[in-house]
Amino acid sequence: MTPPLLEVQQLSRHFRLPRERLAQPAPVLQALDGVNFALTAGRNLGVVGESGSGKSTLARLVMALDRPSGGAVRFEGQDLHRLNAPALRQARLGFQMVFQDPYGSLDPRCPVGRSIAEPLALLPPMPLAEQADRVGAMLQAVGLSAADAARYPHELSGGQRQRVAIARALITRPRLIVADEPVSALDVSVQAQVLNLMRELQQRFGVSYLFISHDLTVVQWLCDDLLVLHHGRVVERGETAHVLNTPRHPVTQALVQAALDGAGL
Amino acid sequence: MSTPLLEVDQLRVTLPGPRGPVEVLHGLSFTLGHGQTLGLIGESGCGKSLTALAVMGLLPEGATRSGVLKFNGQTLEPDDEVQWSRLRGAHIGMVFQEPMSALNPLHPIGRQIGEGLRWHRGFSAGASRAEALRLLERVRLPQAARRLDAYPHELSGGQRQRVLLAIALACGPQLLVADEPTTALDATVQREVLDLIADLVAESRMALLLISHNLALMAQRVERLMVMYAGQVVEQGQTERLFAAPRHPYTRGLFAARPRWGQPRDVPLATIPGRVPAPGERPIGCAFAERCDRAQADCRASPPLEHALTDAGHMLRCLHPVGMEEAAA
Repeated sequence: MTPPLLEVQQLSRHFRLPRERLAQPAPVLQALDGVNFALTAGRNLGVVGESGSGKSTLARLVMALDRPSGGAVRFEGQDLHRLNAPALRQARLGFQMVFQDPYGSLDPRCPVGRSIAEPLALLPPMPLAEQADRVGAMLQAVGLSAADAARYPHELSGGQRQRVAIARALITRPRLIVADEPVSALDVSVQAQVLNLMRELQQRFGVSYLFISHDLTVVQWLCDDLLVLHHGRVVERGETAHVLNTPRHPVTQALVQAALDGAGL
Repeated sequence: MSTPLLEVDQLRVTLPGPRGPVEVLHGLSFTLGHGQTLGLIGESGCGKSLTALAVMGLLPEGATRSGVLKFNGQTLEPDDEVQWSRLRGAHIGMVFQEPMSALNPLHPIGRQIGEGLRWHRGFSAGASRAEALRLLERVRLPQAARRLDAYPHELSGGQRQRVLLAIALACGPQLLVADEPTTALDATVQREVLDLIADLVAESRMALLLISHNLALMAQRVERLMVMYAGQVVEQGQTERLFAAPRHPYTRGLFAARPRWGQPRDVPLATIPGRVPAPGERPIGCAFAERCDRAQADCRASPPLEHALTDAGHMLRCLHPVGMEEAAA
């Protein structure tokens, strides 16, 4: 049997806080505490929870941008946190990330084409012309034009910048994209465009999303499965439709109620 | 009839551009009564923030303003800095989008909260510190007493936005202008901060001008909504009525773009094609016509005028509004 695309086992991360008094031991914040889940290729997993529930810590650990205090993250069977640096760099071809803030995640001094091409450095060197072709094709795939490669982030709207960020994430043809609140900073009309694009790219490139969001209305539209985090622990998980129709944990119930309040307008 | 708190009539703002001045607000008119709440919606680039800046007398360098702006019946001139600085902070409180850059990193927050009180109200250092503590408790900053001497970098984004609210409220303003107060915050903190603003507004009978792109959060917290498109108000009315029966195709498009609860996964989300025309690229007719599925020849011929509908205070700028075919015929 092939291993799941992403498997997270007993994942924990604690942070040591500054001591309040010299004589006392430093307090510890348990940001993630024994989290388990698996993501099958071709499916999307939504991660929801309140601020401080550990969503972004989870994203950083899955992306191997931070080391866990315990547990394992396996991507296509490989334990990411046990790989040496060159092997991890190779593994990174398979998973990429899109952030909430498209202003902060692109280098303002670089034309966007260069930002999009950056992950290609993980591949064996290729001629510049081929790089430019790939960047152009990817810009077209996200609804921009190849000529936009020469533009700078400040010349683009928020929605266009997020399209650039998605193009950069897709250029190595990853199997997994971790998207941390990718549409929260966008206008509603643009949110819908970007979400439709994410869906379309999934069908075209066969990528799976680990989609972190506070907005259940968006999650129920995009994600097959759902995971609810609270104080660093998984309090509920399952198929999205099932969890949302019969939420059991009070945290899930509150999130569903908030979404219904917003939907009943 | 009592004087409204804020009266805006035919507000026009022109900004300098690379090819000469460009008009970006094209004759905005609205009023806001004491204690009333008004939300401003529309896509980026429609002039929401400029409207807020004009109301606060903070238009950027080189901007020119025409039209009438009255606060408590008193006409405000664009260049009368003395008059403006008496109003700002004392009678008009402001909260902006970026809580990181709106606070001075070199001063403890207690001192920054007390600044308005010392300046406008002549408080002593001790009295303003005591009042700052009371304000921090009012905006529900945890451990307020310990935080009086904290510096902005020691606080989270949501906590900083609470401090900015405390500064805005310090002198008991009659109007609070909040321009995307939660956009830079973690999405789940947004709700808390907006709830806090709504509570404070209700408690102190302030009027509120709130700008946000989060329609769902906005709808529950303001009485009236004003929809802006390309520097004009295209529709305004009571929030509930607007949500129940939007008349302008643009308003309807904005509402429809939100995914619906239970929307089947294989149905794409509704979008509004195209983008907002840049200032200076405005067509002769309706600025929305190019993106509108109801547009007809007359829409492109001349700009639609603002007209009142039968229900109270509902204004519309459209020749072929949604759900009113008989009227349009």
